[in-house]
Amino acid sequence: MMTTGIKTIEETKNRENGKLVQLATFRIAGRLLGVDILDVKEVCDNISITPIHHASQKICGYMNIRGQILLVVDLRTEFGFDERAVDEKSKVVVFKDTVDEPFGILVDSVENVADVFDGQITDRRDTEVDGEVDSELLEKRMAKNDLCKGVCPLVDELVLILNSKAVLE
Amino acid sequence: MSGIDPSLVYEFVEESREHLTAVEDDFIQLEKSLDAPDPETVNRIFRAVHTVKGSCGFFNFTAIGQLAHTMETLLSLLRDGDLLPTSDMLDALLAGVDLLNSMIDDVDRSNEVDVSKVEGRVAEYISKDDIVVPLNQVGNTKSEINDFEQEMLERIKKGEYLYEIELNLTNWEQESHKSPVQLVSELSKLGEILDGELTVAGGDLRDKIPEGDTLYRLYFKTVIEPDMIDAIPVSSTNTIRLIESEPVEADIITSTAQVIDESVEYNKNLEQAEGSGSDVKSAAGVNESLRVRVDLLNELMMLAGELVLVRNQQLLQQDRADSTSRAITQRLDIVTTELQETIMRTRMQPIGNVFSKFTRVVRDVAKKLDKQISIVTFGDDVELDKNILETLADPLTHIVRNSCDHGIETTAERKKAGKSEKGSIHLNAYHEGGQINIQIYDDGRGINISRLKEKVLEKELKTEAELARLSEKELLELIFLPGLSTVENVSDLSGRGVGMDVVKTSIERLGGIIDIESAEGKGTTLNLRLPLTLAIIPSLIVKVDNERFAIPQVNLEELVCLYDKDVQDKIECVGNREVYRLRDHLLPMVRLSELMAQPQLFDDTIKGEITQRHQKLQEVEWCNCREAQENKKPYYLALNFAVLKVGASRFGLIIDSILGTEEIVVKPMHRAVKDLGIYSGATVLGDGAVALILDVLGLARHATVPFEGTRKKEENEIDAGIANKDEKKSLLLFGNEGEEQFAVEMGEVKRVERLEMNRVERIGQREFATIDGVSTRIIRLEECLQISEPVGREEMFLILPKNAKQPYGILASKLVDIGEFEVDLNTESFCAKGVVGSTILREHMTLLLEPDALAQIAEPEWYFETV
Repeated sequence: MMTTGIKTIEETKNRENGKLVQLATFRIAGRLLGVDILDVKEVCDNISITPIHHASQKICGYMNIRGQILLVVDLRTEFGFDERAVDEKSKVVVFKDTVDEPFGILVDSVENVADVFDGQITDRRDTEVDGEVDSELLEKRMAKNDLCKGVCPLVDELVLILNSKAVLE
Repeated sequence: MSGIDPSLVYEFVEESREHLTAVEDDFIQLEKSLDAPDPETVNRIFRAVHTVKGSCGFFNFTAIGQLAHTMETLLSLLRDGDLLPTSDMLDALLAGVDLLNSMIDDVDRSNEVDVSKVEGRVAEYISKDDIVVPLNQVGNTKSEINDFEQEMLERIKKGEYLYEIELNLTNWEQESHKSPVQLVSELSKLGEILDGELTVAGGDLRDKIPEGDTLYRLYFKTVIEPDMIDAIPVSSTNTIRLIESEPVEADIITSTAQVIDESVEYNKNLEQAEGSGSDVKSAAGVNESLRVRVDLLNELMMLAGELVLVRNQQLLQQDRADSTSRAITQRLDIVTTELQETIMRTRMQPIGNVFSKFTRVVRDVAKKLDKQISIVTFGDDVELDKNILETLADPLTHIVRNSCDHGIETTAERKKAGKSEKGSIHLNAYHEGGQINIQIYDDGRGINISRLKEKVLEKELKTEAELARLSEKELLELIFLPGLSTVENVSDLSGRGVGMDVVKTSIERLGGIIDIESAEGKGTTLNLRLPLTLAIIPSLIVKVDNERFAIPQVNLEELVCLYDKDVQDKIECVGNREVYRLRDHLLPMVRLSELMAQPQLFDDTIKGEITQRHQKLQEVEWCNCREAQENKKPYYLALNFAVLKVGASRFGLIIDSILGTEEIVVKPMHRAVKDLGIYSGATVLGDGAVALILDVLGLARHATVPFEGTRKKEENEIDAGIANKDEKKSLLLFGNEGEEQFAVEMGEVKRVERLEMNRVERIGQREFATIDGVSTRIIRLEECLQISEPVGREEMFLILPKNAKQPYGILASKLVDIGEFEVDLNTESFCAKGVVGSTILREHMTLLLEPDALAQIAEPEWYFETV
């Protein structure tokens, strides 16, 4: 897979910026988000979801992956965006059992895997973010539910790192 | 514990548990015949305790070993008849078994447990009887040890034994048909051959194979103990001798010495030992079972579940025109079903496993309370899923304890009440309708309702006004209220206030139902109904707003479909709720679509709003329908609902359509959505889509369906409306599209069969249909009675009577209702053969018919012989 972060790696190698982290990146409402690739089991298209009535708004429903039932979460409303119908670019990022009981999140599209060093990632959960820039606005919203583990600059964009363990809390 | 394979420890724990469970029963057996103990029973106990002890030595579980050892010593005295068991002694031994059990439960820390108290209790009986240790025997063995053997002895560790085995290889080969190499390899599995000596008769092997006997003497080191040397596969003509340096522990002498006496220096009978390997059990009887890890079974079960899904998909996909593929699919279908059933069976365990525990429980409790109680169990071989059985053990124990403690009276009380001195508790398990029923009955004092009421009031769990409204059955169910204990002095057995409500909750969690009956002074019966298994359930698949849901069939009572005008008329409005009059019972109705759309618990406003909206909708629809029908346009109005039961209550669930039944594999709900009460799980349907399984109790709660109490009240109102005179009759009402309405008593009806009129065959004037493979004569009412000609329909109903002389059925074009009716029979206004009388039912003149008399009119020949 192509890596968008190649330049970043070269820059940072010299700086010895700590451990290499691979981020699986995807987009929700145009924003770039990422999770540690080691938490991801698979990415799955061909989405057919059975809604679970009475469940909270972020719960999209159940989906069958090869006989296993998977809970699908849609973070759009949680992030303050409008709901959007599933289309052919939509994917479900499925997390490993080590994260939580089997679940996945519905994303608008998946992007590349980004190689970064953990020194590049800044955890701004404790600091005040202005909320002026678009991504910072989202970061702020995510921070409310402990959903954002940190931010990391890629070549031309900032990636918000999703705290996958907090998704179902 | 380092260096020992954890799986071995696991096996030890499992095995020990098994042995100890079996032993409990044997103790109870023993207690029944204290004067003449059955030697086989004592032996079994001895062997079990011995095995536990033996394995302990290997694992270094010294505390367990120590206790087991003392128990074994006492048991060996019992076995040899040196001592007769007494009730107290058995108590001590049982206490020992209990302690062993609890130590084995946490085996890694067992060495920290102080066993001295229990051990002392057991040991008391040993020292009491002045057992003289037959030291001379031990001495003899000792004196025979030569230097070489002494050297060997130094090479064995504690817990191991050294044997000298002498065998004649020639004979051995002939008898056992095994080669010496096999012998060596078998022995190596059991221990280690330290040294060996071969004596060949001919002396010189170069000439030829010698013809005389070949003697083989070997020193064998093993953990097998002297009384277990049956397990060493050597034949009758061979001699095994234990070489022992000194008695291992002081107090073991009695048992070991006797054991040596019995089994060492003794020609062993090969028949028993051959092929038994190291499995001690197989010497006693062939054991056909195998221990399998539960997680492995679970995985197997899950895979089988997935295979079922694949099979279901294949069934949907298959090309029906292709006969080869059809045959394969069919076979796949059959094999899958069988595989799944077999795997399910592996998880099934007889309920006797749990029942057998109660003998002990009852014995202990009875003894403590100084009561006489016997326990009788039926249906021990009824099998239940392992998970259910495990969860069931605790509530059942609680119930049985309660029965002993609160139910059965003391001997004096029983005498006074004119009952037999010995109280009895019956446990009865049986299958019924795909469910397991367990009945716990005691002939004790029953539940004192007035005291129960007092207690409830005292604890302020209910108000007096509330209590006054309850029926007797509901009052009894108060004992399931949390925080209620009716016994004055709390005993350590039961009555701590965390009683029956916990029982009820755990039974309900298993998808079961519990109910109670009690007659004061006579006894109490608790009925449990449980599903066979939790993993795969038959269910009804229904559709609402294009989504599918599964309803467990256990909760399903019946399905009702209303057409056209009935949709408008039959769904009525009582207060803020829609109801349907099902055979004169008011059935509260719940619309699944509304329930799904409304995450909030239904309150009066929501209910009212829904009811109003649908009443209006119905009206509109009915108008449309009528209009369309007037214009001869096809327009159908239909309403489906399922009658669901929760405990003793019922409600109707309105759904869009019914898709059929399916065996579904239940998957638990995800952690994040577990709190939603309306689902009990999810499943993957045949086409791969996920469907949610509805929790009927949850639905009822969410829609705040009135339960028993309120329902009764509404019913009473209806009952009061109907004139409360005359006798009640259970009737089947039917009509023939003409004006007349007919009725037959339900008692005379075997069943009603749907009949497609094109299947009817004619012979002359007579009509026949094949039902259950029997040609059945169709009797039309107009043949026998002077009534109007019915309108012909494509599909009619055939009412099959009970006890028919010849197979016949009465034809009806529509069924009106089944129910209890007050019948004020008029025998004069309509007089004819075959008619008992007439009455007004449902505002219609109704003729009550006598099927047999009708048959006599239609087929007089049938009755000739008897006349």
